[in-house]
Amino acid sequence: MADEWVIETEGLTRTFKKVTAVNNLTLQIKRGEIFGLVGPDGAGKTTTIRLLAAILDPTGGSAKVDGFDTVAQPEPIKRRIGYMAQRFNLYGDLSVWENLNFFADVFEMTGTERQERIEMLLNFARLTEFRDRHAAHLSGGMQKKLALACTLIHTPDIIYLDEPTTGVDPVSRREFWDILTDLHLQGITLVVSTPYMDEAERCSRVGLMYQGGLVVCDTPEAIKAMTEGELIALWPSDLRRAHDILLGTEGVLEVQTYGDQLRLFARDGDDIMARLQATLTEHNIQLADARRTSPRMEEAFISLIRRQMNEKP
Amino acid sequence: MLYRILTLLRKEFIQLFRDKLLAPFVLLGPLSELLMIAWSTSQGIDHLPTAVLDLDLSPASRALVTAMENSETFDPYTVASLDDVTADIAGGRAMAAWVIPPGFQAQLLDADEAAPVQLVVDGSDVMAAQTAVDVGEGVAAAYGQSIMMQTVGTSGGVPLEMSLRVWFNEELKESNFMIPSELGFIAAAIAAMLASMMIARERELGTLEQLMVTPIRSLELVIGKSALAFALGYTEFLLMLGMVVWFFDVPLRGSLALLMLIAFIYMLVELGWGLMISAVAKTQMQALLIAFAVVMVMIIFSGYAFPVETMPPLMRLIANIFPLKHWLIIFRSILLKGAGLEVFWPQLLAILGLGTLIYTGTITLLRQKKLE
Repeated sequence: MADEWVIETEGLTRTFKKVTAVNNLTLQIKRGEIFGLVGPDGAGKTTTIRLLAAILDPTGGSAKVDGFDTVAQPEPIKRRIGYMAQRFNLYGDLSVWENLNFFADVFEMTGTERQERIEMLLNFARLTEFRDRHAAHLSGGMQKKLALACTLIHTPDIIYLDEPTTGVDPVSRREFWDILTDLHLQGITLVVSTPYMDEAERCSRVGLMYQGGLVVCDTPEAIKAMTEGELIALWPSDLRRAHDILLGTEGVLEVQTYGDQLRLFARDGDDIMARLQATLTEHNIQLADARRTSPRMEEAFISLIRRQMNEKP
Repeated sequence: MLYRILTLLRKEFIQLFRDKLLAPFVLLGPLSELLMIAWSTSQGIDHLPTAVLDLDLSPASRALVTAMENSETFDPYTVASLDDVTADIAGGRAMAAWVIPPGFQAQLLDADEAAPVQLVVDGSDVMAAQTAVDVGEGVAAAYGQSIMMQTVGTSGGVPLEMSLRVWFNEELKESNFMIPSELGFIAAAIAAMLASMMIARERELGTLEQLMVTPIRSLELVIGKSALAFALGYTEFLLMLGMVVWFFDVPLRGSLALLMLIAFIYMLVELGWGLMISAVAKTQMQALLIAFAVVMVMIIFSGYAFPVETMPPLMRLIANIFPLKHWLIIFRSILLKGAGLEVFWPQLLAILGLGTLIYTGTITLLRQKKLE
């Protein structure tokens, strides 16, 4: 079964001058899965990816990618992985075609295999008609696709994507994920960090990071099932007051605001709805609607993070 | 390894030519700067209008006037009386005046006595006055006779020093001193600045991070990136050298091949500075500012702006750690004195030694920073 894990870390730690970005992280990623790294800003997602890409050396612990140690054997790792950074990391003054060719050169690809690969990727990233355009003049979404094409040039087995869809419009985002799904179907291992919960739901497994550590690591379904109590959505007339009042009500575990609704986790019980209604009426707050609902990744995520914050003040 | 370096170089070339400003700026900027300096220093102080009061009217006095004329610093014209001399200098019509007393030839022939000649200069223009005095002495020396000179400063009363040791640059052309210094240092500064900026640019744009997940190694990256900077700097050097030798008559008395070889070595050493900066700087702006600061310090200690000989002993000692100082000595020796290795091997050794130090430091820094 050892071969099942394509990435394994053991107490992985990286400290910058005073900040510990990644703290004692132990993680396993299966071959061929889409692994999502989620967590708030500064949780250590980018540092983790850079450590796994062998760009950064850890200050403690170790990481193995496809059986190679990231510190001792970075070169074989580089040939097996593709890395797409959060920022646009290509040459803006080179054309789409020149960028692809440069990376093909760097990986020492030659002959027809190279030409076919470049044409294939242009087609795959839907950039064929933009081949002569300078990369700097592409739209944000197209730049991301070009960056992905460049990281795929040497047919890597593992691809790291650091917030690949941040700052991309919803249509391009959908298109980008379709491309990622294609790659997943080809058997490539994808490690994606993302701040978007809908993207996290598309992953095979999700690792939730907080303050450099892994809070939980499981399938989206399992993570959603980890929430305590029952989720109830409420549409009260005075959102802020209702929030404060309900937080003190017995049986209510947690209250989150979403636009004009409150979502709260409450301990099970048939009378909970009635009690909530009564409490609000007591304080002269009307309730437009209230219903039980199943938690999405977002509620689960916030709930888990809050629980973590309370444990480690 | 070579293949990947060539790949990088090809990319750099495409980018260089695509950047409409960089290449012309790098090649033409320093060239025009040098052109201006060369012009202003070479055209500045010569053909000074010079009043000559010849009271001897002998073959010897006429020969002296011819010697003046040949120096090209003085443009002599004859005046009739001492009053004319005073009036012309005061009125700015003459920058200098020679007064040859009666009996000049007779005294010249009398071996026991030095023949006095008076040189009057307008001390209000210090540079012109200094040049007139220096060249006047040169003329007298070249005249090959024991002519005692009396120098009298007017209207400024500048203390004028006497020195008859004008070798290798008999006319004391300032351009012969300034141009080689300027040239030698611009070329090196350009190569160092470019190298540091080019690597900082990759870091600033984030492409460096992308390159780090490819098989390109740090060393290959540094070589690939700095090779173009070096080539540009060296081309610049050759262009400038050609320009000053052909257009500004700066003599090239020594071996051109030797000069080119040593220039190559020297510029490699200075490139090390640039690489060291690039290991530290995060953005192009930082790289440029650090490089600028380093270059300023270099100028001060190199004897380019102020002679190192007049510095306090400690400063003189510090000056030795800058390769520029040694290079300028070698460069001037080859250009003006036609000297060879037998003369300046200590300086060459110093450059090689400093180069080893600079590169050891640079490689250590790059290793440590891992091009993050």
